[in-house]
Amino acid sequence: MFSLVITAVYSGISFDSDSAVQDIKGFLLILATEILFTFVYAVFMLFYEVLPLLRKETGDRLYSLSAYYVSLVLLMVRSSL
Amino acid sequence: MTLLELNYANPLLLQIPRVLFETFMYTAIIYFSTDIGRDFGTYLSISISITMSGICAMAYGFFLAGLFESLFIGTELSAIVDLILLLVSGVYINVRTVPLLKYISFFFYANESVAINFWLTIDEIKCRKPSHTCFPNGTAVLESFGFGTSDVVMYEHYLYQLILTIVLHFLAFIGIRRNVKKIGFY
Repeated sequence: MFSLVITAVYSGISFDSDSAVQDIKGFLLILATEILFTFVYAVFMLFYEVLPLLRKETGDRLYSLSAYYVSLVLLMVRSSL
Repeated sequence: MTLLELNYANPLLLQIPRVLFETFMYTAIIYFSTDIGRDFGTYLSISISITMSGICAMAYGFFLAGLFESLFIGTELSAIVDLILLLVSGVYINVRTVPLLKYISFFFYANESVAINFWLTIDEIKCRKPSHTCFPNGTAVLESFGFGTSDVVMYEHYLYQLILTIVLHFLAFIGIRRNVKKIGFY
């Protein structure tokens, strides 16, 4: 959704304008950083939803926290490739 | 036991293909709608650079979850950590001024990689008004920002990001374990 907002602002940039380099610098910057925020907070928010279950399961000694964490990260790396 | 772990990993795992898919969608929408977005190869390399930083960004999300005990405190204070990372990324300040601190910021890696991807493809920039500062080509622009001017720098960044991802996951795990123990078990 916010990609449409960025598009609306930056759709006019081109090499023909006087401030081309500055425009494009800002454009590339927004392009690179804005989406990273969504990734950070997607994980951040979700972790607190999982946390109560995690506390219960590890408290019951069903599995250790390190096993949970490692499996999570390994699966994450595999499926993001 | 493995089944259980997989079960509870599920809500998090569902987020993972997002990094790849969302980055490509998002970059396509923004990049191709501008006048400068005509080169498909540049689009692909920009998307890959953002994806690499996206993986690092997710590790940072874990790190934040480990750093703060509750969601309330986390949302209040994470903005400060974000601000530090954003400030040293070369957005509002030339990266030459922050020699070491920038290497902890995945915003810096994303910013510089994307800049290299784009500006290296620009061979000539027309000078509209001779009185202004004019850059002859993309490499000159990169130099003025203090960024690297070759693909090698970008690949080094991919490597550094991988190391940063591992370090962040390690710290995140320590933090989460501390949080779980501190709050106590049910």
